[in-house]
Amino acid sequence: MSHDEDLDLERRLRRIAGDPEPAVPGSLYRHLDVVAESAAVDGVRPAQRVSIAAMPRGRRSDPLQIRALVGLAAAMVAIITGGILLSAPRSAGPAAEPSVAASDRWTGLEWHDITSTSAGLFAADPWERGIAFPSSVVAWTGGLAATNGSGVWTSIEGRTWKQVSGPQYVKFLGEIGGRLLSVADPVASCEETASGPCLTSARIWSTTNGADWTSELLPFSGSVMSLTTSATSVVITVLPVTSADPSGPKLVYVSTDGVNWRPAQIPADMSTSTDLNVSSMAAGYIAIGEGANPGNSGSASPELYWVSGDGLAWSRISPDVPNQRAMFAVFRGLLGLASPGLMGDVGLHSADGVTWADDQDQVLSGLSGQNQVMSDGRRIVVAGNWNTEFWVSLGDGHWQPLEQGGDIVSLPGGGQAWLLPNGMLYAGGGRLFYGQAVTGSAVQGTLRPAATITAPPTATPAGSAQPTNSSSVIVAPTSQPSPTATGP
Amino acid sequence: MLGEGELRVALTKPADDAAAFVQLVRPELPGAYRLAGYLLRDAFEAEDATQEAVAKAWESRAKLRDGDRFPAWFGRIVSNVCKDRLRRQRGVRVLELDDGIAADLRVRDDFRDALARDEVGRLVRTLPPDQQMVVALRFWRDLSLEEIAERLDLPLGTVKSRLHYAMRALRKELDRQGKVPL
Repeated sequence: MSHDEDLDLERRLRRIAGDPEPAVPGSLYRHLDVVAESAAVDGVRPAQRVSIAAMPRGRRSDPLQIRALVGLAAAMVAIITGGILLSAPRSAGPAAEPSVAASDRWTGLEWHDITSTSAGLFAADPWERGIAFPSSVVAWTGGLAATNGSGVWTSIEGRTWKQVSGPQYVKFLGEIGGRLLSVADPVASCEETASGPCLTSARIWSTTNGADWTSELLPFSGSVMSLTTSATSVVITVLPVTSADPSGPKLVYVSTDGVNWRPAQIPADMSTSTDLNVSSMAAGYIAIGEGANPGNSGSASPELYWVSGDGLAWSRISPDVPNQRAMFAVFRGLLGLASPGLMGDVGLHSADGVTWADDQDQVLSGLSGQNQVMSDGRRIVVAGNWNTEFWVSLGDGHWQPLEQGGDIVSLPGGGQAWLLPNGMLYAGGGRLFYGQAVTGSAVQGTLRPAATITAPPTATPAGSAQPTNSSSVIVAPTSQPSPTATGP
Repeated sequence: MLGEGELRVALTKPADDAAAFVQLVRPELPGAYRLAGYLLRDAFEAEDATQEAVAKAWESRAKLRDGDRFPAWFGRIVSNVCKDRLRRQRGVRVLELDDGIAADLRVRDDFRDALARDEVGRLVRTLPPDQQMVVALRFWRDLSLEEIAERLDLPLGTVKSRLHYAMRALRKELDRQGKVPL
C-alpha cells in the first residue's frame, strides 16, 4: 500500500495536531521584542557583537569549550567574586533602621553530619569531578532552598532536605516578594550546529509555595553570570549569547517581581569590566569590577565602583578607601558593608559604600590556607584557615570568633561553606555538615582540629556543579601574589 | 505597519531592521513553536528551539535575499534547528514515565499529551529524523509536498520518497502491533 492510499494513517496523524493546538508561551513573544529592544538599549547592534557564528571555522570555539569557559568563569567567580546569595529576612524597606536582636549575635556553631538527610543535595567530596554539592543556598518565606546545579532542594531548618520536582540545571537561586526564583543556564545543546549562536535564554522557574513551579525563558539571550537581590528588586548580570568571551560586555536586567524584566542603563566601563561583583546595600546596589589595564601587562587593573538605587540606573563612584587599597568584593551585613580587601589585607567597612574605614578587628590578617567570605544581607561570615575557623560580623567592623562544637569529631578542612539565616552548611571530606548557630550560651561538644584538609583543585572541573554564588568569595592568601593595586 | 515587501527591504537596510525583523517573525512564531513541539515532544525544548531559530535568523538576516519569502526562509531555519536537535536526541535513550509518576511530577506537556492521543504519535519518534521532519511538516503543519521541498531545500522527489518510506514504516509497525496478542 502506498502512503497516498493509507488514508486511515493520514487521518490519525493529522488528528494529533488537531484543534486545539498547544498555546504559544508569551515569553517567546517577549523574547522577540527584546531582540529589538536590546539592540536599541545597549547601543550595540546584535550582529556587531562578537558572534560565535562569525568566527572563522578554525578559530570558532567549540560549544563545549565555550561551556568550559563559562564554567571556568563561574569557577573564577567562585574564587574571586562568587558566593552564596542568601536572602535573609528583609528589613521593612531601604530606609528602615537596622535592628540588632540577640539572635543576630552569633557566638558559636554546633555541627552535625547531615549527609544522610540531604537527599542527594550533596553526594560526595565537593572537589571531585561530577559530584553534586550545594552551589547556591537561599532563604525565603518558605524556609530554605538550595541547589547543586541540577534541581532544587528545600528544607525548613537546614538539617533535613528534600528535592522538589520542577527546576532543572539550576544555576542561581533568589527570592523577591515571597517568590522563590531559580535561574537555569541556557540549554545550549548545539554541538553539531554548523552555524549560528549557541542560543538562547536562561530559564527561570518560580514558586510561591515551594511545590508548584512555573517556568519561562528569560526575555533576553545569554548566560546569567550573577543574581543579586535587594529588598525591592532583583538584579542579574548577563553575558549575551553573541559573546563567546566570558569577560566580554555584559548586560544588566532588573525585576521587581521576578516575572517582568527591564534592561538597566549601565556605564560602558561597567559593561566591559571583568569580575563584576554586585552586592545589595541597605538602599540599592553597589558593584565592583576590574577596568581595562591602562598600561603594560605588569600593572594592576583599576578597581571600578558603581552604585544604583533601583538597579536600573548606575553611576560611577570613587569610594574613599583608606590608603587607596583596592577591594574585590563587598558584603552586606545588618549594620553596613564590609570588604575583605585584597589578599591578606585587613578588612574594611562602610555604611554607605562611599566612605570606608579599617575594621577594628583585623580578622583577615594572618589567616592561612583557603579562606572564604560570605554574607546574607544580615551578617557576614569569614571562614579562615582552610575554612575550619569562623568569624561573624554585622557589617560594623567588629568580628566575633565563633566557638565550635557539635556531635562530630572534627570539621574536615578545605571544604566549602554556605551561610544560612540560622547557621551554616559545610561540605568537606566527602560529607555534608549543618552548623546550628548558637547565641550567647556555650556550644555542646568540642571539635578537634581538622584531621584532613581537602585542597581545592587549580580549576574546578567543567560539567560539575559550580559554586556560582554572588555574595561569597574564597581567598587564598598564601597561594596568590599580592597585587599592587591602584585606586579608582 | 509596513507590508511584507517593504519589510523585506527594511531588513536589508541598517536602520530599523530590528523592528522590521520583529514584525516579520511574530506571525511565524506559533507555527515554528508547534512544529518544534511536535517534533521534539517537549514544550520547553520547543521554546528553546524557537528562540534558537530566532537568534539564527537575526544573525543571518543579511542573507535574506530580496524576493525571498520570509515565512519559507524562517521556516527553513526552524526546520534545520529541529533537525539538528532531533539528530542529537537519537543518541539519547528516553524512558517513558508511568502516567502516575508523570502526574506526580506535576509537569504537564501539551505536546506529549497530543502525541499520546494515538499510538502513531509515539511511533513517529522511531523514524529517522529526516523522515520525522517530512511527516511533521506534512501532517502537523499541513504543508504541501512542494512547500516541504522548499522548506527543507530538497528535490520534490526526495520529499516524496521520504514520506513514502515513513508511512510504510509506520503502517508496518502498526500492523505488527495489531497482531501482537494483548
